[in-house]
Amino acid sequence: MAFAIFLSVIAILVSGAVAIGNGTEETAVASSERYLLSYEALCADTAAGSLHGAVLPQNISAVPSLDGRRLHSAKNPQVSQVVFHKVTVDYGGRVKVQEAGHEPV
Amino acid sequence: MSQSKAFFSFDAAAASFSAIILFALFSILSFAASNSAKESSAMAEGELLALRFSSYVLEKGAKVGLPQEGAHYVAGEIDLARLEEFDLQEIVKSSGIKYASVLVAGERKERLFFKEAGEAGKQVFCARRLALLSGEAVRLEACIS
Repeated sequence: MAFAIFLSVIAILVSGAVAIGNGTEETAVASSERYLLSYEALCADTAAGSLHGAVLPQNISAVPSLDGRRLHSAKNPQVSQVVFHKVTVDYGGRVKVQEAGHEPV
Repeated sequence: MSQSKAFFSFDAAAASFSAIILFALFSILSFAASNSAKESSAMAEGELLALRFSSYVLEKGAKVGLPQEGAHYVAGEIDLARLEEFDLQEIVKSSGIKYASVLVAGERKERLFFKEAGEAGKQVFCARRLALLSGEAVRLEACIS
């Protein structure tokens, strides 16, 4: 009986530990995605501000929103970042950022 | 039989107790680690957002050169009339930001221009930049929440 109680306690603790571990991993992944998106948004806004527009590197992990005012993480779509210039994806799948009225460099 | 029972229950109790203590320590550590990751990413996100916003304000408020000189933007020089036209309310509405403000202060910290929109949240991130206004150095402060 005591051994059964002991095993149940261990099982509860292990499942709790797994849940906490998963939660921590999710937070860590979301945090690192937030960091990455912040730098990608900085890159996009700087390019649009100084060059009036640019084609962003192919390895960009962000996905622009439909209105082009936010960048979403491809892995974690709930993680997003505001951009002050319009970000769009063209037919070739290139991510472009541009100031209104200017063509990207 | 009774000896085995007594030994077993003591052992199980001791093991359960140490497992509970270790589990509590693990959950505290895990909670602290995820909280710290969340806070540091929120700080970096907020500060970079404020920096980008200040660049955007500088860009939108940049003085335009004379038409006979080719109507160019004068780098780092702001025009208060252009800043006045800058629609903060639209920025707040379209980007989902809670609050945005722009302050231009002179050398003696006198307020030359101030505009805000929305309601400031618990954390406000500000970026301070040096700019030029009619050839004089001024402080441009862009805040976002």
